[in-house]
Amino acid sequence: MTQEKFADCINRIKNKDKSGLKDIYDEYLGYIYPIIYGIVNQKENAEDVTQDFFVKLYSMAENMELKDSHKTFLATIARNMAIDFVRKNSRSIAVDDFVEEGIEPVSNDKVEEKVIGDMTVTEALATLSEKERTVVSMKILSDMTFNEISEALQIPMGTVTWRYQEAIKKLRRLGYE
Amino acid sequence: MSKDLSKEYKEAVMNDLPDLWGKIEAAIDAGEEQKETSSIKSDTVETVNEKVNAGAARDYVPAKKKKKFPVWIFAAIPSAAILLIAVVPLLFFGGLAATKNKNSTGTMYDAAPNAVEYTDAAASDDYYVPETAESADWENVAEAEEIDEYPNNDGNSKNTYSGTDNKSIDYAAGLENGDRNELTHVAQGEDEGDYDFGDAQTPGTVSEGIVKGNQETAIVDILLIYDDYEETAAFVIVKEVIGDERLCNDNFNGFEVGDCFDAIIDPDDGFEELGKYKVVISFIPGKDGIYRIEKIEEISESD
Repeated sequence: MTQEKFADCINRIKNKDKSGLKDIYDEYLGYIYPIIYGIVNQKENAEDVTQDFFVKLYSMAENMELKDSHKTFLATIARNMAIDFVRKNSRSIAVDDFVEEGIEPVSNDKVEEKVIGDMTVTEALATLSEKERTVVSMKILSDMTFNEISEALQIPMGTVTWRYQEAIKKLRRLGYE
Repeated sequence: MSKDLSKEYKEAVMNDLPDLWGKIEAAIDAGEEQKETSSIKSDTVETVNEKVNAGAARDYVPAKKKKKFPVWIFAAIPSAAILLIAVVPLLFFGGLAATKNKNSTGTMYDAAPNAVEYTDAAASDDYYVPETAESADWENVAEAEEIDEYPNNDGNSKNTYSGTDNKSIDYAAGLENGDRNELTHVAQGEDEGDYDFGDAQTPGTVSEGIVKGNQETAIVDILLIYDDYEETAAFVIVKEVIGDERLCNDNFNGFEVGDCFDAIIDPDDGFEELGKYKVVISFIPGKDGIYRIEKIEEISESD
């Protein structure tokens, strides 16, 4: 979506025309949702935050002044909202998304038995600990730097990089680079 | 053969994209409905309490509101203009005429009976003495009433009160002049300029009706109702009372755990307001369910 088209969508939202938001939603759901999912790391919560993101976008359109790239702007809002969510729900988010979705976490012993080539990315990620998976998701899906992840999770950057390296080592053994 | 983790992971998430449009649309509609409802409730609530409590240490920026003029203003302005054009010249010329007449014999003739009457009254003790006593009593009564009306009696607060009409009281002047013990709240009513004193409607109890009721209260479960960009109305449930109420009147017994009320909160961070915060709640007398809440700090989950 061009900057002009995005500005047009915002103007329509200002006139209480939801079609403006719908266009942004259609265009950027695939961009925003992975960013949020990468941070929240849980499907239902990611959906809730994504929903809140678009509602917030609608409410803030009235006072919105676009200067830089709208895509960066949207990503920043989404990321901040997701981080905010994680900080506030740091205890309750301990639920394993993969377990919820019916995928058994694969233990390291079983990994050896599996044919490496058959493993899907979801199964491969399930071999990681939750903390490792969070760091990998933030890094890959949300395109965050180690420093940003460190600030978001409020843990030392050394811990973040260590977890990421450990995760990558495990995934490498499963054929993922 | 190695697989691309980044590419496959993104694809996996993209293949599982949820359809959220229905929910988003419903949330927006619900938000707009709430906004309409809350905008009626929280029409105009403003307090200068923060100025009093925080003193000069903290800057208080009241919510910006559109300036509304009361209807009577539109009638009053032309009336004032007519008065100025018609009456003032009359008085002016009338005054000139009176000055001229002072020198005339007619005026002297008119004034003569008064002079005689005064002389008679002065000569008569029955006429003169009781009048003096009565006026002396009246002065004492008036002075006593003034003291009653202004328990925090000082020159400034006296000057702020000008009769029995509550609307004519100048709160701002009272505050600026340091009269902080009593004049703490201005609760604006439904109509602009209609100041509410809560339960106090008679001059003798003005100071009782103007109340500071502040507490530090931990609250959670803030359901946001977006009113406008400047203000956020919220439904607040008191979960834990931390502090004590101060200088409250008899009608206000303080907050209790489980109390529910509508409130105005400062919208610092939009959605980030959802959470548990330590706040100062200012009670506004006479406005049931209307409070002003100012966030102090977020209470972490471990608290």
